[in-house]
Amino acid sequence: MIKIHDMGGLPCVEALPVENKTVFEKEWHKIVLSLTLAVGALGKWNIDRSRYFRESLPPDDYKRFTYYEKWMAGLVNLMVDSGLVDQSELRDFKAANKPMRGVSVSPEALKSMIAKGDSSLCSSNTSFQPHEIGTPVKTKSPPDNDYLENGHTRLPAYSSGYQGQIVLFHGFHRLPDTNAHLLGPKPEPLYTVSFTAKSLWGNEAENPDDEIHLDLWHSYLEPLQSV
Amino acid sequence: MTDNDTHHHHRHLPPDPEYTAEKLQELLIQKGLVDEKALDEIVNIYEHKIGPQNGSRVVAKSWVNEEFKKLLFDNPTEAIKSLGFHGRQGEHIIAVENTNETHNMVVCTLCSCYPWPLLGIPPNWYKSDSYRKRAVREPRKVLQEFGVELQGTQKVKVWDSTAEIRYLVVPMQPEESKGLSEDELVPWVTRNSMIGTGLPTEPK
Repeated sequence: MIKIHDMGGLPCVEALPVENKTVFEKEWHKIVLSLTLAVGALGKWNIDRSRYFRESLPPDDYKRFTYYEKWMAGLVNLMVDSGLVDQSELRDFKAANKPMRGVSVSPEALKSMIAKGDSSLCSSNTSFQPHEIGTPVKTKSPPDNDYLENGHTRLPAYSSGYQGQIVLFHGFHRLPDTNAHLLGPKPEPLYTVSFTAKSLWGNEAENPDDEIHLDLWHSYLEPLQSV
Repeated sequence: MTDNDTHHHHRHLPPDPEYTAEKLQELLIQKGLVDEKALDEIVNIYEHKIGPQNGSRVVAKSWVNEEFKKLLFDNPTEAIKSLGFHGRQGEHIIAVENTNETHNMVVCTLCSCYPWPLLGIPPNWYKSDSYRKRAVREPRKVLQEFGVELQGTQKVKVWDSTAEIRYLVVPMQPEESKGLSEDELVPWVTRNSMIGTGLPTEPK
């Protein structure tokens, strides 16, 4: 089943929207961005899980929501899921208990978290022998999560089942497919794989030799014999 | 715990996003989960400190400083760190160079991944369904819509960044800007020229 957020390459005749003039188009966008980062900094979930929650909103909501509405709905679902907020508190927006002390992250700590980031790079492990640059590969089809039916993955449907070639190796990175579901980071080699436009779109390609590059994990790929 | 894979997450919120965002902020402050000053600081950072001016500095420097250019392509994350622009949503950066043979363009079809420490918060069109659908399938048509004219021989390379690695396009330096200093070049490097949906232009 192709999920609602997995839209790369779908037929679309819509023009691009007119550029927004300010960093935040609306005041409430600032609230949603800052709440998402500040609550995320409490460390109750990881970045893969927050993406997974945004992408598993009811499909009708995903379709009609603007970017920050998706963020807000995802954040609220994460807070309920992890017990930070009770559903009853969302009905009247009143705290059910006395305020927690010493829980919130200070401005200074947040500032340094933003400056430091959260690298997904892990040390290598012996479970995987990384493919060499230049290796021809075929992507997994269908683009399913190997651990959980209908689970999170970063293999877009449009690139699933096609042949490409490894052009970059980025070391071992946390696997979103498990990390999003709190099944551990299970680091795997991460590569950039190059596909020709012709291989993905056939005769409909604008120019057969144009290339599409995707960052894909080891288990998404099956090496092919070099020709 | 495991995730229920068959049902979709529920709706907990009232329909008006502005009202909801304000009430949610009040609730989370009241509960002691967030510090109001920290919220202001986050907004301040993304409104005033982190933005495309960072990326423009990186590109302008690479145009005038061969040593920095080499570092930018050999070890981009280090190069960017050396200018102090490392951080959240840009932990691993790859710089891709436009040449007479190649025009690069960046998208994130699954969400809206973008090199935040270098370009700030992505513009609305980058996050739109139409850009996410079309950029991989008809990049040339999309480029045309942005007014980017390709040279006859240029191949288009689209980078669909799926989160861990973020891409910065290093555009070609316009002939008419050759000889200018790094500081003078910074305003030539437009945000879109670093996504690949624009070209550097003389500042007005």
